[in-house]
Amino acid sequence: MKKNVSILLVEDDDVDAENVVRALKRNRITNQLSITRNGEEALSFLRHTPPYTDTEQYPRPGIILLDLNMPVMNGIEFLKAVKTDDHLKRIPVVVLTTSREENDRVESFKLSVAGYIIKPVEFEKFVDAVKTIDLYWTLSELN
Amino acid sequence: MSKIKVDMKKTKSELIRELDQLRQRNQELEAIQKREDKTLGDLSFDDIFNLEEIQVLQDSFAAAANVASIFTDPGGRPLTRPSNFCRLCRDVIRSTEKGLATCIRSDAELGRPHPHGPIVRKCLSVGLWEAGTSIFVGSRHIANWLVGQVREEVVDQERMIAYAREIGTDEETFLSALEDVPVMSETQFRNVSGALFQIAQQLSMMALQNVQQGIDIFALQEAGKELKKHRDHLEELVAERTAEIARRNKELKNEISERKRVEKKRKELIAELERTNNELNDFAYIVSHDLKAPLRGIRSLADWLSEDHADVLSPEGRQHLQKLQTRTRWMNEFIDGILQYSRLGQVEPEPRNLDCNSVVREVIATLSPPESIPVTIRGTLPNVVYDKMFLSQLFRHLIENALKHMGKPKGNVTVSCTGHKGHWEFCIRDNGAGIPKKHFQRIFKIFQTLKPRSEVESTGIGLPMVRKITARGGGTAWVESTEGKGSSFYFTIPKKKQGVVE
Repeated sequence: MKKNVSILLVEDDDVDAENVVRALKRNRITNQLSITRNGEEALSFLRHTPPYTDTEQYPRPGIILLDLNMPVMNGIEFLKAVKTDDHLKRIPVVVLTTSREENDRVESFKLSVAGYIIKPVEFEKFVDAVKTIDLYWTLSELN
Repeated sequence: MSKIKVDMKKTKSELIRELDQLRQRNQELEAIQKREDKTLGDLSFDDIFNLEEIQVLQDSFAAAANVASIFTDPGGRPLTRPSNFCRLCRDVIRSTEKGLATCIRSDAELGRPHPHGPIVRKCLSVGLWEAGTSIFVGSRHIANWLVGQVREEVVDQERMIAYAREIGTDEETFLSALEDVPVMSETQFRNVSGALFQIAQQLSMMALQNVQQGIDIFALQEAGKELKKHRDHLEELVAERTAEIARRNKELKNEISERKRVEKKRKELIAELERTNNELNDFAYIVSHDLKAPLRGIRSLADWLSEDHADVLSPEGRQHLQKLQTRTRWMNEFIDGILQYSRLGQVEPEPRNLDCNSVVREVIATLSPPESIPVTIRGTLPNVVYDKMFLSQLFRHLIENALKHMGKPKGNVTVSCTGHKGHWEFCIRDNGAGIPKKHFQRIFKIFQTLKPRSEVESTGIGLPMVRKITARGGGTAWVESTEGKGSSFYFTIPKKKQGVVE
């Protein structure tokens, strides 16, 4: 994983969030990790609206980890908003789901998702997901 | 009757054949006559002829031929008024009882059916010339036409007087009247008779034609009536049918609108059912989802405590933590179990032709039993028509149970099948710990386990699932067991025609 790529985690449950932190730490992934608690906050983060106006402190992430079940704005709504925003739709999104049925449910919305990880986020699964995205980035850079 | 000429040169057989032909021809003619007679029925002379016209004919013939003339019925009774009767006959003889009787008898004899010519003779009373000819319609003699009352030039006076006395009439008057009787030669009289006969023939033919026409007209009228009757009847039938059709149409319309109503109701019910189903589905889903989330958290936290802070815990503390972790696992499985069990009602089975041998082998591979407890198929399992997922689950739960409840490190599990009339009976047998009889029913109830949970990692939904699945598939499940010896779990699948999927 590229050093300068930051990760945005959109997750409301603190234990689930801790899971991701520990998974990254375990593999010594030191990329910057930002956490927002719901979809609205996340959009604000991505669009640099207050309180996320500082673009240095809150850089554009190279990957978004998205939990689906969140208050205020749930994962699907957030996903739709991102994929219809020309500035944001290129950022790969990995959805954190609770079951395969949920995978299917997201699929049914036909929103391009870069990958799925079933919670609890296991380290290997996370690495696999990232590897796929890395490959994607490499390919796209060749273009 | 004309004589049949016999040709002597012909052989006997030829003659016999000719005779037969003639007999046949005769029979045919008789049949025709019978038919004609039938059609003529009770027709009388004045039905067929116009009596006034006949009277005119008779009068003019009598006047022309200078003879007396009358038409009588076949019995001799007069049909017309006499023409040209001489005084002798009319006044003198016929006014006496005896004389009249003789005259009538004479007339009757004259009127004997005589188809081939007139009867010419001298009358029974005083020997005057008389002739008669029969009028036929077809073969039926309906009248006589008589002429006569002419005399020869020379008369036997003696005889005349004797007769006058016989009938009781005055001799002078008698003889005087006799003188007045017209004189005619036999030849001339025979000419007259011949003419009479010819005219009568014509009358007969015309009569026949008239009758035929009458019959035809009658038949035509009758046919017309019959036709009208049929037409009326037909109209009636048509009206009836039309009414019937209208009635049926109405019935059909009613039925159609009834069907539509029922269909609408059905659709409504189905929609409601789907809604309820979805709600239940959602409910089960939401429940399991919302139960699992914090559970996941608990698990993670327990894991982290174990990973990061095991060193500050006492051995007892570590053990407690371990039990905490185990229980979170159980709870997760419970929740999955409930979800699965409740889902059973909602999923539509997709029956297919399945080879049980390969399904069982797949299940065994997934379970990966230890080498010390082999799971084998005894004999060959049949093909069945069933939903693949359900069939797999059946075998999986039962084989898994057998493995879990072996109670000893070594043992074996066998899968076999017996065919019965109408269903297959599968058996999963183990030589494990066995089950006490009092528990046979209980274990099929949800969440009932035989051993404490800590000993056996069992959610207790396996057997309830088996029961529910088999019930849905039209079969049953039960157990036979001997403590210490082993257990045999049975389930049945109905036999269906191959290739017929319900």
